Amino acid sequence: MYKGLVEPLVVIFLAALGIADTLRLSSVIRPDGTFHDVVGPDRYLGAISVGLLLCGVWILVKNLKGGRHTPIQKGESGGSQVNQVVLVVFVLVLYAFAMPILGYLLATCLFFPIIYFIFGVRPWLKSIIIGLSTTAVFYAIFEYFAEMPLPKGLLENIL
Amino acid sequence: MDQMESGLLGGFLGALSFTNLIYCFVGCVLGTFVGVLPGLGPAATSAILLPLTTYMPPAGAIIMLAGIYYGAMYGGSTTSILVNVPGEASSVPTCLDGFQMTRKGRAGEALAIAAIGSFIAGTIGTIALSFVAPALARVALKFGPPEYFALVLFSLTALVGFSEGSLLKGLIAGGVGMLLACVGLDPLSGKQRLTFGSVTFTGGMDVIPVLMGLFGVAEVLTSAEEGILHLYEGALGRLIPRGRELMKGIYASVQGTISGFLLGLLPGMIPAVTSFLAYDIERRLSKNPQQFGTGCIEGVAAPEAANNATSQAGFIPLMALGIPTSPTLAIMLAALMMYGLQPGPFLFLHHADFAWAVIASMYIGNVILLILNLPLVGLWARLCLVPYRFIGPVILGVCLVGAFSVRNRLFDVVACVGFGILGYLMKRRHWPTTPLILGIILGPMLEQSLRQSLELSGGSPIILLARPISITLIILTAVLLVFIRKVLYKPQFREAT
Repeated sequence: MYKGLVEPLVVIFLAALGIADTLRLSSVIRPDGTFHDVVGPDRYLGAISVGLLLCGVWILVKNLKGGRHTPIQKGESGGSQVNQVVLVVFVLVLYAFAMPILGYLLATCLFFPIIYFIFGVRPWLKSIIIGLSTTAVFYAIFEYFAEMPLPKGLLENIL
Repeated sequence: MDQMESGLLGGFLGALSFTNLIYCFVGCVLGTFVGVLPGLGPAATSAILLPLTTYMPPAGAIIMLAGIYYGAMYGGSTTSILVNVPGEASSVPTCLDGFQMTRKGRAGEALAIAAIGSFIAGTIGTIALSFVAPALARVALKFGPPEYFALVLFSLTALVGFSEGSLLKGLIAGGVGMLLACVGLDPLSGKQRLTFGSVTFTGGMDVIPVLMGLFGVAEVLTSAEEGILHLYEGALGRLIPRGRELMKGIYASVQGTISGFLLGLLPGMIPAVTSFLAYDIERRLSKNPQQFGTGCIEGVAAPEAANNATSQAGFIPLMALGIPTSPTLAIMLAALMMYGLQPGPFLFLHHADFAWAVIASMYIGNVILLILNLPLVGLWARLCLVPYRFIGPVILGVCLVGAFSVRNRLFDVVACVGFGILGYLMKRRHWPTTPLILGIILGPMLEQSLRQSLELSGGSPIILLARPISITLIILTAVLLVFIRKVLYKPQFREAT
């Protein structure tokens, strides 16, 4: 994997999505009511997408020419911290997908102790106690004070 | 003038109500706290709290968010002075002389002059805001879609150009933001754009999960690795500087206020930039420039006054024109729009009570902040030591619930996490995040004003060049682009600032 290529390729991909949708929209006949709307839903989108495409290609060529396509060195980005960030991201993604199934309360009861532990709260028991206390405070604030309709999930019949 | 007096009087009546006073106090306390705390800024805090403000009255919510913004400017100096770690980017120049004063046993004086300078700038800035914003709003009443198109174009260019990183990266980030803003239904024709047949995308990309992800989640992921390593345990020394030193500090504060305020009217001139410029101006104007960097009181007063003056000045284009000049003000614009309050010239016409209550609250907020930051400074210095391992998870929890709360859609929670990861990666790879969010917020305004202008002219783009204000702004945009390319991106300039 080359560092200097990923970013411009992502930009080019996004631009391509925009251009594809612009072409789709431009093939649709404009309704009579918008006869002065020369920009329409497509041309503004098209202009941004083409601009992005040009910038993406520019940065790609620049990176290729400038020799920025050096392979990632091992240990370059500070191993343990990156591992911690990867773990946090993993737990966040799990939490986002678990919430509709387990419900806010159960998912958060699991989320906080784990995330406190990842952030360095030790021992486990301490992170569990702090995590459950935080969940209780959050639940009280959002459910009772702010009256947010939080997903109930598995506890639908109890809560 | 009578209109301003009666408006301000009415504003004070509103701002002095018990509820609004509480919101103002909470905003100031939170602002000082996030200012003191390295790694958490006013933009992140405002973004995190934005969904919760939906449960508050509009005036109270904006009073609180404004308090967080200018409160953070007060608090940012504390750790700069005591431990040489800036609480805010805008307090980086304060480290240069503030920490040197601490090493000489003059920490108390440095903290006091920072608070006094901030108070002078905050109050003068609010007075100027009271006069200039309504007057500018009256002028802006004459603005039509072509003028707005040119104004948004100018602001976007400035905001992208002055953001960190390279101009090309800024342009790409801004373009991606504008592209994301297109997702959903086209407001004029009702056609689906970039939805690719998915019902989930039809509702468009809500700005709040994006803000919470980019500013909240990404901030936590980035800050998880950082922290203050040691606490200043020495004595603060005397608090108020002696006669001549105090006068020097006040004089530098006034100079910092003037430069910070004037620069703060321009889009992209965020407090982090103007405080550096004010420090540099102060050093150049000084009879003893060699003293700067060795613990000189003017080196603390000028940047601290400038960052406060800039934060106040930014409210003028926001309230009078509906144009944000910094990321935090863009969040405030989103908050105003969430309440159905369109900032701009009509704000002072249709929601005058609201606008004046917010302005009046700033006078009160500055007094609250002076009290919070002078006698209680020792308390703040210790509060900044709350370990990040306790704060980080709480911020993440608030972000995820906040993203969900606005539309009760789990898609928004996933979007918040996704944008958090994107924001973290962008920071690591030195891509600016500010243009992305401004593209999302200002992109639709640019498109709408362009399409309305062309509808007015029957499809001729000449309308954009035929009106004096719009042509002036378009020329200014071109000049600005050249300036950014030729001056700001020169390595010598980057090194100097």
